[in-house]
Amino acid sequence: MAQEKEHKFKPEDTQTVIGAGVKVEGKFIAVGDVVLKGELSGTLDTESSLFLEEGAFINGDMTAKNSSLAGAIKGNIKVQDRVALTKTAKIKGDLEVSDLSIEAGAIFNGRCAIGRTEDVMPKEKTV
Amino acid sequence: MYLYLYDSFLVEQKYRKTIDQIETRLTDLGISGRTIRLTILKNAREVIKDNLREEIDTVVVIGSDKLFSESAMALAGTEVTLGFIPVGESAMADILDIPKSIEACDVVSGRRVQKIDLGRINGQYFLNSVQIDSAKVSVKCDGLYQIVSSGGIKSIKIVNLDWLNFTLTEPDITIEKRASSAKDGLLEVVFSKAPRVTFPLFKKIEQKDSLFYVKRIQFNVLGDREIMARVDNERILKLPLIIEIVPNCLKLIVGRSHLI
Repeated sequence: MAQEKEHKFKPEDTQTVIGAGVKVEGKFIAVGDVVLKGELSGTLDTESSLFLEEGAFINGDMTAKNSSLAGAIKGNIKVQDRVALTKTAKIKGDLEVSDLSIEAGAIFNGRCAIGRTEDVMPKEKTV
Repeated sequence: MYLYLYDSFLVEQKYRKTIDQIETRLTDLGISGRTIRLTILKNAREVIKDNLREEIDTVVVIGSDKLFSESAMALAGTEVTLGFIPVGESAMADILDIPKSIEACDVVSGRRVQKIDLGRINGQYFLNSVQIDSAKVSVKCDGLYQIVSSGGIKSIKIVNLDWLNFTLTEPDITIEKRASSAKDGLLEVVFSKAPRVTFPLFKKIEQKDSLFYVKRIQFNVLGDREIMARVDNERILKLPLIIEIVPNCLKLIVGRSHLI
């Protein structure tokens, strides 16, 4: 019998799409990429990328590995690698990220911490 | 030992030649076994359960998707493998990459076995999907969040093993999901808007809005009207519903290029 090797579940197989016809309320945790075209009220966590499309809105905090933001967020953003704010993005909240790009026209109102903490902090010297 | 279940419609004369060819091929491949010809009075689940007491390690359905789904329910949680020789129209055949009629015998003989998930709705198993043609429902997912229709949603489909045909093209990402995965321990949930009618052919095109992945989803009625759900295009259940995934629940013979 040729018992086929179980293929490992890959996060990119689960791309969640929150369309313009729905609103999510609560604690939304995703394994794969998330495309948000509608509204989310609560928190959003993904180990992959968040694509916040123009017209979409997050009312709450979010964390992701990477983010492309063209919609609006009222809340704090924590992204492990890269955030790209496009010209339609509207952010009100604090941003913590390794690498940030902002297109002309984007609105950002909050504090921003860019770069990895370990890259900027001098090592303590022992005497 | 193999048990072959013949669908009730195969008694029609026009299928005689096809059945003869299938039986000959199964004998040539050395995988012939016990055969049971179902009638509308013989329930597939009872027939399977009666025969599982004996030395059956593989049940092969010859016939329709409907009988295939019923047999999957009967074999849920057992170590018996399910095979399929589709005769006539079959959506499952394409997803599982099983050719129709005589050519499917070689796939059964090849025994490429996958362990797949099943869905469970209000305590009963289902193989393919659950369809709710209303958005006047409250939807709670995984005990963490709820999904509210904010306008235009007409139907919700919860999928374990079925076609999805979900596509999305945005400037920064393209998503194309043809069929669900029945091995990821998750159910796909698709929210659709009313179909768009094209001009001048007046062809209805489905408008899929959202795609979620859940382990458990709960539906309750909003308002006084009764709302029904269609399970595997066969059974009808009344809301409220609790639908959950049951991982690694069924052993299935599939073709090389299956989509699960």
